[in-house]
Amino acid sequence: MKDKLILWAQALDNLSPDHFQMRGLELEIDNSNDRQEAVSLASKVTKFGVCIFDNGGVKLTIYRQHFVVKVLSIERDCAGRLAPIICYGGYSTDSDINTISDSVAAAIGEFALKIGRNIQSEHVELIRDSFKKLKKKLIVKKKIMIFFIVVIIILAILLMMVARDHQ
Amino acid sequence: MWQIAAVVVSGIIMWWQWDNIVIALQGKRLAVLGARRTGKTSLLSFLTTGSIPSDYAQTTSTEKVQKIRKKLKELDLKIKKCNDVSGDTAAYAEWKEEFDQADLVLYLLRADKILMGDEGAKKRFEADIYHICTWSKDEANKDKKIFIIGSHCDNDESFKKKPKGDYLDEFNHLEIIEKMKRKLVNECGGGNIKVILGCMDTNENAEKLVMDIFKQVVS
Repeated sequence: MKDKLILWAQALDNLSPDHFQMRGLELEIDNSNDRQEAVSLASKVTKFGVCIFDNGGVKLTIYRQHFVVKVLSIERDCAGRLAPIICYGGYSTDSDINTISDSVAAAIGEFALKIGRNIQSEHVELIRDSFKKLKKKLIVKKKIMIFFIVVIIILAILLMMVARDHQ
Repeated sequence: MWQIAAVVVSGIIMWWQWDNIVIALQGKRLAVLGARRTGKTSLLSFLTTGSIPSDYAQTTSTEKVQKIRKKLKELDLKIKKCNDVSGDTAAYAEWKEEFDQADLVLYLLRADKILMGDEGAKKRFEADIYHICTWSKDEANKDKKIFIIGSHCDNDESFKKKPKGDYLDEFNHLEIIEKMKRKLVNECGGGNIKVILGCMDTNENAEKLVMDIFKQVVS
């Protein structure tokens, strides 16, 4: 799962290139294609998606079975601005959200350490909370889908019965 | 008597100018571009909320910005919603999308660093203008209004000391500014590229800068 995630953070000095990790590997400065792809994928979610969790420095946005988690690191940049770490990934209705949540929390922690940042333990908990929200949303979505399928089946049976009575 | 006449005339000019600004900007879409820490988020925040954020984060992935409804003095503007993009060079594809959709392009750069002769800032400015010129060659992007906004002037001591006009003239005559303006005019086929200087260290200064931008739209 971790290999399917994209991790992204802006440099704290605001001069060095942004830090990217894709397919488990750090993206080199000259790998502009992958770097641009990473930005485009994450930006598509935050631009067109819906934010389902925004609490205490953790934000989860979803768009067409893709998610972006934005977590604030303890460190600030040289201008005193908050410095978030971005994690992009995908899920499906059948995905085990708990596994995704654990992978995301671990990947963000590892990436943060790699680039010399720290994530508060409360934020790690909030990442898990954000995915719990996603899980609930998916369960509700599934229930609604089942309800509609049942309604359609009942309507079809009723129509068949009415048609049979008329014959 | 003369004083009353002057007040009336200046009032009419002001009213006429506001009217033109409203016509020029109403329902338009802005693209706010620029390298990291040039003030894109501050400018967009000021345009949407009327104040500079006291504590804010670096912009990584593109963020939606709600419709802009700016009330500045007598000016009541409604500008289409736009996006706050990252300033990293990896976000050029995002910049292009914003550029293509925009009616007005506000390109922010660190005026203080350019004035100091910072090579990194100059190099980045050149790279950004190169990309903007490339996008401008598309038929749909021809004659797009582009504004170069020099921010963080408050970091330069002479900004407060020199008269505004002299300071702007000096900036406009910097080799790099002349070169990039020439490139934009020659390669983008656009008219006069406007340069506006200011800072957003306080709400008052941000308002001054925004007013200068709006005035330049119609001049």
